[in-house]
Amino acid sequence: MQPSITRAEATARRPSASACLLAGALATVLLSGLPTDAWAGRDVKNNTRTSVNKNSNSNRNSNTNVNRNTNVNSNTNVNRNTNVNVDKNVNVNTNRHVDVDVDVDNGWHPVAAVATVAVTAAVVGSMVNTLPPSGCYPVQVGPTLYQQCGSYWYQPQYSGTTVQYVVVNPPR
Amino acid sequence: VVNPNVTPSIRRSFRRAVFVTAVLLGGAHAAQAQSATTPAVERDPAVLARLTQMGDYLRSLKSFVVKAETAKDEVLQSGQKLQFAGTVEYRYARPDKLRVTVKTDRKWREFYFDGKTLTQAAPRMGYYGSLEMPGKPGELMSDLAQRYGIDMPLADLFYWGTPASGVEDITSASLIGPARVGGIDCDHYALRQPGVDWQIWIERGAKPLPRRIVITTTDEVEQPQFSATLGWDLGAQTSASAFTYMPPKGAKRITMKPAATAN
Repeated sequence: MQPSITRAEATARRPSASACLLAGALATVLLSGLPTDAWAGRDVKNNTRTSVNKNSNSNRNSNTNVNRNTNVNSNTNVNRNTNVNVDKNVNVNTNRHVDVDVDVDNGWHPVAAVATVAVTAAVVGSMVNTLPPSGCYPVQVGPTLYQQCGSYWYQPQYSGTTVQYVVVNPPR
Repeated sequence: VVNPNVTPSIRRSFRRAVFVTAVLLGGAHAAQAQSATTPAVERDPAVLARLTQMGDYLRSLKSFVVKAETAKDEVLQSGQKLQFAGTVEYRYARPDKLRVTVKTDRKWREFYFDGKTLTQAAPRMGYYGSLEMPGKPGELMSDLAQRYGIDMPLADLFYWGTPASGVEDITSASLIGPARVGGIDCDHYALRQPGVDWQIWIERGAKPLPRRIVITTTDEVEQPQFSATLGWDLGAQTSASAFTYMPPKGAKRITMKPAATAN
């Protein structure tokens, strides 16, 4: 099944696609499952007020899925251009479940799985919603927590209430 | 008697014309009746006074636990609306202790606030983040939204009865009538202000607690809604240690990105 690409994602991927090409040498390919929750990856406006008194305007766009998904989709182009053998590893991540808000929850399966595979390149500085499904280990370096996945390093952080992963250079 | 010269289609058209005319007349009549019975309520002072009483009462409480069953619409870019159920629990001890659990099918977050340090924990993911944010709960909510892009649901519970109550923003306030929420006698009020229409069910009598609230976001075309039904425990005692986060084994600390740089 092809991952669907929403309008906003399609728009957002253009600039980052070139950035990814520049980083082509760096962008070795990891295979990772797209979120398989039917809800995942939807382009949500996220503007529903949950309190009468408006706290602030600044948070309006902080939690949109648009930007998060940008990385995933833009990286698709990288893989096309580098001719990686995508087919080799298809189905690796079948049945993976990821919450849309990136609450990865092992063993908790709210929605029937759909096998989809996306190709995700680890471009330093980019942000992703999820880590590769296996082979990642938390590594504490000084005050900072990293997730090391093979030769790739991710720094988890909160953006609003959402956990996202920033692709970083190896800290050591 | 059916005139044999009139075709069935003409008879149908005639019947339709009669029907449409009747509907138009009826509609006009209904509209007239409505305008005659709906008074132009703007800001009913009695309603605003009840809101103030509610705020004062909330601020008078030494401690409470309130558990809310929530439903929140999410709007897709296509305009399609989805609804997600969840729960919100506030555990509060005056003046500045707070513990909040926000759960939906998609996300589970715990917030701990001991008056100085705010911790956001993601129990399923094994992450937490902490910030030094001294202040009262209302200031905390405002800070979290403005500086970290975290919107606490039902933050109004800590704005009402303070200078940040927002009562002056209300452009229309009216009493709809008596109602029961979970077997409790309430009054149902409807309010409007820029960006939101909202309804609140306030318990009758000497304990004017909000028992239900519905917020309609009016500056979105789809007008998504958030609703919450609240259950109160006013006698709840919570030990002070419950407001300080103790990381469970294996929990990892991560940073909380300021909203200014949030993408």
